Amino acid sequence: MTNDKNIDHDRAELGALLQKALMLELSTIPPYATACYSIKEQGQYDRSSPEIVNAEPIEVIRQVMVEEMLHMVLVANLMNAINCKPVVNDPKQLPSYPMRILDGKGPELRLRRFMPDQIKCFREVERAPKDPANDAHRDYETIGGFYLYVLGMLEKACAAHGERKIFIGDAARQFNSDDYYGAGGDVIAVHDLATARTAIREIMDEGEGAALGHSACDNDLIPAPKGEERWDIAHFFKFDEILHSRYYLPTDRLGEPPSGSDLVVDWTAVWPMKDDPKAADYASTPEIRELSDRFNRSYSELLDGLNAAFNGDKPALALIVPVMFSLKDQAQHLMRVPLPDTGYGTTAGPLWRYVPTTES
Amino acid sequence: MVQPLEDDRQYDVVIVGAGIAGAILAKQLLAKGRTVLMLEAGADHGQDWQTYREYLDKFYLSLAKTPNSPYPNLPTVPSPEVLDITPVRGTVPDTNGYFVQRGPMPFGSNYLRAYGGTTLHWLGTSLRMLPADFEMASRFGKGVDWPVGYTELRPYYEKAEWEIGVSAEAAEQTPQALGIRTSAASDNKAYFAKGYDYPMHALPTSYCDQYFEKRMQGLSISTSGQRDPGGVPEQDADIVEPKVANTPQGRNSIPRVFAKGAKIPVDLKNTPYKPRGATGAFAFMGQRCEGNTNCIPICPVQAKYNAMKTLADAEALGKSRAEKKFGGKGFATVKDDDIAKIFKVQTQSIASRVELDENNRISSIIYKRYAFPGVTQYELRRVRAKTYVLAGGAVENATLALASGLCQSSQELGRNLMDHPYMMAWGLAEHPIGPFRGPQSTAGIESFRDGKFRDQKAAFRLELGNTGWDFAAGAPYSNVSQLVEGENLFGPGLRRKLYDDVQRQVRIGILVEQLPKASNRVSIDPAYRDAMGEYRPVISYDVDDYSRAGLAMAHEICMTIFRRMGIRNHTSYDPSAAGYLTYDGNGYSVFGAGHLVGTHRMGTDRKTSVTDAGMRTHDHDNLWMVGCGSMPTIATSNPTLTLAALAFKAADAIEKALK
Repeated sequence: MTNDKNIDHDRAELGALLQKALMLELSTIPPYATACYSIKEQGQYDRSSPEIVNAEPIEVIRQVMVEEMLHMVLVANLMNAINCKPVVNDPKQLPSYPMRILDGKGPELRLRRFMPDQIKCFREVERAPKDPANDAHRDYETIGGFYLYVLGMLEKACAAHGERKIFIGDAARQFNSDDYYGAGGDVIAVHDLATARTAIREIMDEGEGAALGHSACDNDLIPAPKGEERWDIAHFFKFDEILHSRYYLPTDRLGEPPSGSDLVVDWTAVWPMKDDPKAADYASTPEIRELSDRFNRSYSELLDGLNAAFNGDKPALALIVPVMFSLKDQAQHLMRVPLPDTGYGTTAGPLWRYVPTTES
Repeated sequence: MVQPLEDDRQYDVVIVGAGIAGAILAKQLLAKGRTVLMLEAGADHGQDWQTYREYLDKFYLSLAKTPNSPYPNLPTVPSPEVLDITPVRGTVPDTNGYFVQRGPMPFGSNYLRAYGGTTLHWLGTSLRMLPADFEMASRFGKGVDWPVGYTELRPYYEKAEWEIGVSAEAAEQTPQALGIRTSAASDNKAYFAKGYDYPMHALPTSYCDQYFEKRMQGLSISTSGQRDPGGVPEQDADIVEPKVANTPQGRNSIPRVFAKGAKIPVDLKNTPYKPRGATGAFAFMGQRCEGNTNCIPICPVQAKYNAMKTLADAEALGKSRAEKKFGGKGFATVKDDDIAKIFKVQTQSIASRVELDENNRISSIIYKRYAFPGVTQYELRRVRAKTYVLAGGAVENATLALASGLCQSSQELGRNLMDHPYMMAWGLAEHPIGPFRGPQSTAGIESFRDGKFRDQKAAFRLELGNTGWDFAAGAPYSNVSQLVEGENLFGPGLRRKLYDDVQRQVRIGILVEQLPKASNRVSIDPAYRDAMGEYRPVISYDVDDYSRAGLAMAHEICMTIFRRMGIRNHTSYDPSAAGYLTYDGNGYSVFGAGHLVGTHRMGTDRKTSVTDAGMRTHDHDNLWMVGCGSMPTIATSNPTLTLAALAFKAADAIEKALK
């Protein structure tokens, strides 16, 4: 019943979906990172009491960001498992902000400093699918719904052609914990439907919580990734914690505010970065433009490194770790520079634009 | 005296001290189904992320970033502080700080009395001892032999390495790979069990380490007396070709993935090691070491092991057992009081006296529970158990046992205090070598940790520092003031010169072994008590000629290495320094390494040792003393890994006795 033409078509369709997933995960990172980096850190604050402001929010956003990076690796594993080519440095596909995710159906992502509206926006990004039954039919409005759809397509393809014909990728391209230096969960090497399912579930669990298969209703425990020895909460609730200045307790119920200990949030200890900065904002200030270009070059180096790592050159992943550190330094450098055009009321910020590296 | 209030709950085991030894004992015994109470003198600190943040804040704001700078030093529970160390003059004891120092040399080491213990500020160095270290008396006629050998301790080392989470490659850590001319050829056999490896891959060595490795190539050094810079080979087997070796470290790196079907050693679940943090909502994720360069005094990302990680496991075990026993599932239903029936860590509780019954067994422990950190008001309480364990560190174990009149038959209690006298050599390399980044130390030269020379002089290890002259000469701050005030530099010129100087700074740390000596001891004196009325440790300490000879040789070797590498020597030892000593007409100055070892040593003979090989005291059959104090000799390895292995061994012995 199966024929080669069909399987090629299905593979291409799955590949396109997963490529979209890759871009989806990537598109969350610049907004999260920008908000995180805009928070003033130790040494930048001025108070007599020995307390670092906003240590917790920095940690919360950082943890989410680290998990999004893990999700990118998992999606790359999925793509390589079915012999599709992950691409992360194609300017046509890369996100530009502001944008609406999920083909305009999802929430809006912007490049803004750490502020309540931005955290609310992050919370929306990580919201669980309301009705998983709908999402399996391309009507997804949430990232979780989108992944349910991807999983459904993958299962269908396996049913139609058999698992062995779908998972034909080169096993040497799979990342496992041995190749991935960082925290955020387990790296799952994908080689069949079962491992593919585990990988997709990990992505969904960390993001939206355990709204898989059953709808999480009121009076349920706050969803947490399954199988964790210690208790963690999904991204949605992590952002909720920041907005409430309070941690969730294990006993808290869905729909109720968190009731744990204080989470210190100071919305004022933040660099006043201009919302959604554009290249045009720096046109009249060559010094800022130079800083901005330098940042973009680092960002491009990161994407090129990722692209190489996902396409067979696994050690490239470790080599981009220092680039990530310099991205942070360079972003914060930009955020410390006031913009003359705005009467020095706001500061510059990173643009996160890819500039193709010129061959030399 | 006020009558103590009786605790109404009895446990199988009471452990004094919530440090790494106590934590491992608690976790092991809980897993075996025992009930455990821990008494911790420190305040209710560190158990949540908020207090860990406070430690960090205090560290960032401390001007002198000493090992204890992030942590509270309360009048209720004082800790020794390195800033309190001054030369001891004449016969008047130095009573600065917590220790009472009788000299002739000041004891330069410190520890931390807090939840998690001194592992909060340790560096993470996790070296095993060498087979020869267990046989110092029979091989070299020095010190004493251990009642256990390396082979017997080896499985416990494995457990300890997997508990701490050590990053290293077994193939790089055999005596042979380390370039050690072992005193017996058989020492090289089966140093690691077949198929064994560390839970995580080695952390990368620093650029500076690689610089040493490259430039030291081909260097050979004689340990028999003369140096051999010219390369004329001597007849005997004392020529050592020193090797730069990656140091096994208790810090998170990449977990090792074992080949499919291979049996993973140690871990019963047969799964790869899971890196973890210690405290906070994200602890389960375990951040990786990212080179924040302040392992000592505190790791900001909790990538470095501290005992709070094991304590968290113990608490989780207690909780899951309570859930099973008292019903209820999930988070909400099991009551704290039910958990406390199985496992409880009681902080702010200072063990004050251990009481004996008529059969010379322990009947109870009297402790002082203070309600507010820093306020010296307390409630006197008494707790009873089947078995008692002192795990408060070498010095605190000794003072508590001495204050209670325990273990008197050998007269060894409190004696044989040892440390690694820590000396430095520093200089300027020809090229920038990138100090002040990465973990504080990632490699060492282990090649002189054993050899035939040990019948004459002490063995030692050389630790390569990644932080320039910071500890040696207060860099980079001292460089700034010297350039500004001494050379009147400013602006770009200052920046250039500062960069040029600081970037070339290298520093070697020398850790030399000490022999057990009866006169190096912890004692108590009613004249010296702390604010809670507890005995302060009174310490008599000296560094003997055996160690001094080792220091002198180590110094010579460092100079040879410097010359070979083209490093300009800047080492200078200040005769007014607290740890200044002389040997053979040359002066050196030493510091404490924070390795407090040997006050209640194990042994087979009750006349010469305090405990048996299972760390049960010879005199009291329901009392164990566990920790670095159990070690009969200090060897050249940083002692924490060995202490952790001994804690696993003691847990086995206690479980056997309880059956």
